[in-house]
Amino acid sequence: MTNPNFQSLDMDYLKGIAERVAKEKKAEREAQKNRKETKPEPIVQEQAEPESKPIFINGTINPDEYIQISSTDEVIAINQSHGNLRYEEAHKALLSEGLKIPTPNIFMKHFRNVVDAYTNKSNLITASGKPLGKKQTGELYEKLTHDCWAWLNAKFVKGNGYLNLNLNLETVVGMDSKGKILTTTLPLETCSNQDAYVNLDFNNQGLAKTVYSNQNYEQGKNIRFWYPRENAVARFGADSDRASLSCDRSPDDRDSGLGVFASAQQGASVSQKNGGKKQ
Amino acid sequence: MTKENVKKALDRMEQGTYRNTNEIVLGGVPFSARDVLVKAPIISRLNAYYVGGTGEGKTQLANDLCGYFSDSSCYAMGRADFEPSEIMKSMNWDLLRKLQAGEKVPEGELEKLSENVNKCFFYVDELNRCPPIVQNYFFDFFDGKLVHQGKIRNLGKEGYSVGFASGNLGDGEYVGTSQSDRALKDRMHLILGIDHPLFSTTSFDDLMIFSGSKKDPRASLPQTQEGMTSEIIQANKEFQARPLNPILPFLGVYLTKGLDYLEGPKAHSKKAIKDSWYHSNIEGVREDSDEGIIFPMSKRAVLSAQALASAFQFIAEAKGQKVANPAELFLDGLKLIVPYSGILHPTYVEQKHSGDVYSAFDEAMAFSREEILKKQGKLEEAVLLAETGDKNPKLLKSISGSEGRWACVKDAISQYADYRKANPSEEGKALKEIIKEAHDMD
Repeated sequence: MTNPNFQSLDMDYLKGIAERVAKEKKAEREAQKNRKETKPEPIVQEQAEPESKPIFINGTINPDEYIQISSTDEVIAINQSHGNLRYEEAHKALLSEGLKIPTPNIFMKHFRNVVDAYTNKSNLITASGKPLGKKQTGELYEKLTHDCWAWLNAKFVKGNGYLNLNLNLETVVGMDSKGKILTTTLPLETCSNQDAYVNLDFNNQGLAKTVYSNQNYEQGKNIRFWYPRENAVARFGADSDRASLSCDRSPDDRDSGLGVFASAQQGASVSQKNGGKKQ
Repeated sequence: MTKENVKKALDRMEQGTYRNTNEIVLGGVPFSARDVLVKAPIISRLNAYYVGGTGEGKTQLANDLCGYFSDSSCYAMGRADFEPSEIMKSMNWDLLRKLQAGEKVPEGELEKLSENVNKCFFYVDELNRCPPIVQNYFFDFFDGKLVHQGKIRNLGKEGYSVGFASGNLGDGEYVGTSQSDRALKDRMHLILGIDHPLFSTTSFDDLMIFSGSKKDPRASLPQTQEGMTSEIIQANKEFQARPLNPILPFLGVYLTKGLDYLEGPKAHSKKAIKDSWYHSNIEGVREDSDEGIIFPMSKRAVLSAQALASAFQFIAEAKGQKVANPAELFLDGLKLIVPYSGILHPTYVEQKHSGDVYSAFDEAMAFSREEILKKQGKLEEAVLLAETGDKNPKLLKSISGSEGRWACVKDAISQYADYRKANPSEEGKALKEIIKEAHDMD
């Protein structure tokens, strides 16, 4: 690739930016150094370990890499895995390992748990029964509010649910011996029918109920919601701009960055392949 | 540094009969109405289309402009049967006489190019008095070229020619006018509603116009001042030699590819569903997103916007003014390009803004503008790193995730970094030295 046009860019302008960046970084380093010299590092006290117990998962996933989801019998991976697969391919890959793609209901419960833990309202407990440390909780919060992209187990098909949208919710429940995925379909419950920032208040299917008062992203306080469209599937994503629950995505999309936060059920039989490991 | 003779040329363009002392602030810099309506397009060789109601000064502006170019100007009036070749081609009378005398002449040469092809300034008054089919003949004309006997020829001299036009855009109040299609508007580069409060005369201007010695409502003819074509060409050459602000091309990627992005459809593209996009909003305008109200800009429009922002910077520097933020100047300059360009959804302009394209533009661009200015620091740092052949994944991620309207900008920066890694520039190496110690390349 050659493009002589690049030669005509104003390098003095970039030089000004370089000097500004260098100055900022230097000031930042000095401030950091001063902080270290003048202030002892605060001792971060882990909250008292809550009463927690490991849950039994019949398999070999690493229980330290999964989080329990309170009021459910499911655990969910801390890290995203199984990238570069289409919706159906992702389901098959996970099911063959005894794992599954979380439904919006499970995932949004987990999301709220993470937000609550980050704001010190509760703790996250791993599948091995250990509380997740503050630092890891903070990292997980950042991931879910700024840096993830994952399929959710929900397809919206023509039906007779929530009248405004006239759709049903199809979820994958398993796979038969021939590799065909098995689904169950329920009428769509009432949910927001607006593409908007919404409160972290979800119906029993994990879909947003109410529009947020302010239509700007506020990390940990709202998410962007894209209401269900016929034959679309659900995804959860977060980037530098916002976190969003999108119920209008094509099941045929595929991208190396698009994966799954694998979930597993207590007592499920799970194989070791890739479970909970970042690819 | 702008040369003295260029400054003189810019000062001379302040003169003329058209009076408008409105101050127009772009990128935080105050510009005169003539800076905006005349100097910027002339210096940067961008075509301009003055639109607005009748009797607001369009023809007077045209006469002033013809005065600057004097013998190198060509003025035409839009008519139903007009087409540009009328003023560009003429009969070769010598050959015709020979033919009439029974001599054998090459028939294809009976028509020759007229002297007008060497002129630098073309003005079509009342352009939209030409019906749409005739307006289509102007595509090449406003592109500064002419096809004659199967060959393409540039208009003007020393690579300079520019086209201006005027028209009474309105919804039926002008008899005999037609709509102009988007392809022609795109070629007009700038479309300026000169009777809109943004650009129109001040109350005091009106008072001075009404209380002056002139008792004739007709536009005054060009003043008999000496033309300044060669100074304008020189100023344009100096303008062309200036480097482009390195952030603007990346903003261009956002305005073409980023604004094209749609969350829902499979191809994530407004262009892919353009027919249904233009037919959306029939039942009302959705207010939760700008996706249904603004279409991506064309590449030509982005190039125009870059040139215009550079021209404003050039003019500001000639006056000794500093442009604090070139990105903001670029965004404000879009106001001269986008509102009439056809990329704002017509239902949105009509229903939400009662047909005021400038108000519609401000609202439609508000989200993008805020995003661009919010991300500007990160964007500049990432472009700086890319120039040195490096990229910082954390920094790129702060600009965009894997999808969304900013992903294209992130990709462009990343690919530019790859390009610069393979083709390092001397300037890039020098920049690397400055930031080597400072930047954490994690």
